[in-house]
Amino acid sequence: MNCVDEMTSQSRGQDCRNRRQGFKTKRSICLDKPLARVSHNIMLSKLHRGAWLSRQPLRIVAMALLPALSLFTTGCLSPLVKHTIGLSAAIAPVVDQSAAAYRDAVALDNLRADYEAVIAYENKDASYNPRNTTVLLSQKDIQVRLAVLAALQVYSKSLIEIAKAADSKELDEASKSVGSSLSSLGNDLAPSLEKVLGIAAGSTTETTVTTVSASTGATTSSTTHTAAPLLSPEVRNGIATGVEALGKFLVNRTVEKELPEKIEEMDPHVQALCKVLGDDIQTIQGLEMRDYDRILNLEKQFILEDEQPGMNVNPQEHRAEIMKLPEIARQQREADEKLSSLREAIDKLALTHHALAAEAQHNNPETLKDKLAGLADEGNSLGKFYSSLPAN
Amino acid sequence: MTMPPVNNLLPDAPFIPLAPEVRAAYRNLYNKIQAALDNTMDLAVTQALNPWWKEVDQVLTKDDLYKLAKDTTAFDALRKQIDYTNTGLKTLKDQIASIASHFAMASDIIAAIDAVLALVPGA
Repeated sequence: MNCVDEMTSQSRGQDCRNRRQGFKTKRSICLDKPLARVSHNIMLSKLHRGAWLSRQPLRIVAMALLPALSLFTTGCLSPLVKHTIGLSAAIAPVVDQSAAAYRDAVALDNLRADYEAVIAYENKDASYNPRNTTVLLSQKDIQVRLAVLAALQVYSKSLIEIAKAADSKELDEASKSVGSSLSSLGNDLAPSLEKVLGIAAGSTTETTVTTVSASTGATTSSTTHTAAPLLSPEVRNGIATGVEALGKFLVNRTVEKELPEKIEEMDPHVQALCKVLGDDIQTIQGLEMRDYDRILNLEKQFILEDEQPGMNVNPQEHRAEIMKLPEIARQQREADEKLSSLREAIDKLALTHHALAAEAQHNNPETLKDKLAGLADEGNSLGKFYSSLPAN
Repeated sequence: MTMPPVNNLLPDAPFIPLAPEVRAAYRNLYNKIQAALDNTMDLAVTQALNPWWKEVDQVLTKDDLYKLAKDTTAFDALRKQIDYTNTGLKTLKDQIASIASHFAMASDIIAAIDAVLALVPGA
């Protein structure tokens, strides 16, 4: 029963007002706090971006590309080195951008869950249990994704150093460290991706474990809800193999003369990892858009409920609620653009690596100049994307 | 590994995963409901549409899940969701008809519901 139904008689109307006033108090806890969190989160995101920009402003991205361009014009570096420089420049911002995107998606999904709680209570839905609320990505889920992206970053830096025959001790140690940590994550990435897919589809598997005490004979049972496996065994194996191959490359490193062969060997793994990371972001993007739609729809419903006769909502609070609507819509547009750009960047990384592998084979008919210009454009477009983000 | 189930539903049941025209019909209904929610200031309309927005969304997402998993669990989840949603859509249609004077897009949503039910009558 909703408030409109209840307000058909005076006495029931009073009950409704009392309940709604109580609800209003609860809502100020349930809704205002999460929205503050969203604002806070956006601020954090902006701060994060601001910090990134202050550390690595556009000119640094340009500077990273400049050697590739200038050296190309002077012809001092081999084509392989030039490609690896381009690859590294393209990867760096993707890692930072991904971290912010994953955290924003988690905050948004939590906010939607808070809104759903209000609706569940308003509808007296007895099946609602806050303990069953799922979390889109745990800290570990985010770390697994970032570890793979970071490994791709170290991998690209390693390629440059090896190609230039200027391998540093620091990078060698970093490579070994990242490579070693990857081996323990290889089996975590696929289940973590499945978790997102399962949440997006609202599907979980219920497992009940019953144990019988040997001494007392008493039985106890516990039920857990987990996402069912969604990826095919082939995809799961491809992910595990790709992560393992990346880890092995970083741990073992290689020498200059072996590099072309190793790049060719790594290309299918890099392609597979970029594909799953890109698909993962696409799933999160779809989930985010629906989360925003739902939040907007419910926020509007709450506002309209507050406007019903007898609600006596504080006008200032009411205006503040209304002003959240355009802000949520703006955040939705920004999030959509950010995730689209991120997905495109990952797709471009895969293409860039593929071009590098083709260069290693010396079978790419495209002129070197065109390819290098393409890499420069890629880095520039990422730089432009960053500079288009609000700095505060 | 669980084998993907064959589509042995009743003759009036949808092909699972949703055939392109069926998915397009659900997507169109989703868009129509969302547009109506975006363009109304009427509480009765939002209270009628919001619960079914969620259910139509669930049909689309569970179809996505089945395409990925292709197992019996996902198949059953989608079939149950379709039955639940389409039964509810018949109720929603009556509800919208009773408040049609409240919003301009009522006829668009009813037409979109009819299009879905013509393809997938449900339980």
